[in-house]
Amino acid sequence: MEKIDSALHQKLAADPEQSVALIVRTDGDPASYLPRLAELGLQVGHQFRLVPGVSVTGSAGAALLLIEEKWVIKVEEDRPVKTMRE
Amino acid sequence: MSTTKIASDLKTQISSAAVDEPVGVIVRHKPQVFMAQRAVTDAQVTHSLKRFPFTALQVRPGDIEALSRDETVEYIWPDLPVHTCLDVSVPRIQTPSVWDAGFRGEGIKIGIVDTGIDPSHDDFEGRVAAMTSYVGGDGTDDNGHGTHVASIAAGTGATSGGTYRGVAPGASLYTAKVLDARGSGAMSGVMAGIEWAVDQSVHIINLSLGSSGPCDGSDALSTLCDEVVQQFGIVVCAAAGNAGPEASTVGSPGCARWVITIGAVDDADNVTSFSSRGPTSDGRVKPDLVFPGAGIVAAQADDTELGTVVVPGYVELSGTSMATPHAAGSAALLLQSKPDLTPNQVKWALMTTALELGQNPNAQGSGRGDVFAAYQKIISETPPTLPDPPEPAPPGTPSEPPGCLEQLMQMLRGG
Repeated sequence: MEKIDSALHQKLAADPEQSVALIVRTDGDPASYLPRLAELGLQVGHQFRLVPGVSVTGSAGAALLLIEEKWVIKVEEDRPVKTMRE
Repeated sequence: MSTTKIASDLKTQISSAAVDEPVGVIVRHKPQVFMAQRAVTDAQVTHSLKRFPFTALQVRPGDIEALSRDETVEYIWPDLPVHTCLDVSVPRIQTPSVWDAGFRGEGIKIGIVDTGIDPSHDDFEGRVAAMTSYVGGDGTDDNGHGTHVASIAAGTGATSGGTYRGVAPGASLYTAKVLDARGSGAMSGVMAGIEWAVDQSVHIINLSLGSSGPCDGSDALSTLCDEVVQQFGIVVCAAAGNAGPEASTVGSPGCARWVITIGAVDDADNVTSFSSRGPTSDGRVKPDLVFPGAGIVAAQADDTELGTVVVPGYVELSGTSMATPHAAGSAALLLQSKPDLTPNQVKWALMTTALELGQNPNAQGSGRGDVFAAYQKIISETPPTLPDPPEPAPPGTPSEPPGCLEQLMQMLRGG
């Protein structure tokens, strides 16, 4: 599995100052990585245990650094969802 | 005015109608040629029955009196709009036959991950076992969508004397509010709601929501849904989406491999134009099934304005959102009748008994669900133990086109 979709990577690199919302899948319990996420300036929203990971918000530049972490399995956008009424 | 010839509700309607705005009426007339324009020169005939002396017209309110004086006119009614009410869509999928067999969903827990629920609606009295919110508040529905969805799945219809009863009126509801008052949220919130529902030990999760964009089932939300199905044995019903009729418009989590992805049909069993079509971006057929999703009347949340009010306490909405809880409720009935069914066996039962509609599989899946046919199948046959889905072949791998049965088995395997 590639860590990050190439289109997302390009989007992050294009403007490191922009704010982004991401879902990060982690190698094991995400609780152990919270300090590192805080160090990178990323704010944790939800922590997930069934598919271990976290949702984070922060700068695109911080996200680019996050990708280099060994415990990060995958980074993707925390995309909007909506009701499916017509 | 020949008042005895005009229905009382039509009199009420025309007393407040705009003078120049035509209204629809149905006229019963003597069994001879009815010349509407003889009585009202600019009356527009919309329908004229051949076998029976009824004609539908558009006339101005002020002309109805003149119409009633015509000697060939016997009676005039308002031509009222009709809706696919729960009292139509629920019987269409043969639900009452499963009720008659003794199953209404008792003991089954349905998780509704949505905009919340209005627990004060009489149709949910004693039905809401737990509620939570990941978007603030206590989980009370401030949009209306979640209440409508929950009503379709498991409402008792109490407010309507049972008329608008849901598919599994005996099931209990566990609702996670992950979408805000506008009906919007984020994948992460939905994931949190799903984890909560798993912690509540629900049997079924209904996801009448989704994201747009191409989807191959590898995103976090779809992956979580697949995990919930495979590791926890929970049936997950997900809306296909409303981005149809273009191909490859099923978003997440509808594109998840192991969920039951639901598209929408109208009351003539036509796949609606809005219902998202497959295939997924990795080439899998979706949706898996279709259920009624056009003009569905179900419970209205207090203090909300979503939908068209049909009768007090009930509104009409359309979407694959409305089709999906028909599937979730159906799953509840099947699980009550045979509690050891796996999610894939529930999917197998519904898919192999669906009414073939003769449409593209990427529009209709295996057809329109029939819960009684599925129930009959599971009580008369031993459901197969279905293997794990094979890994999809790399792009460009040549393969023989699968036969019909193999295509169905691939769909059941999520491939």
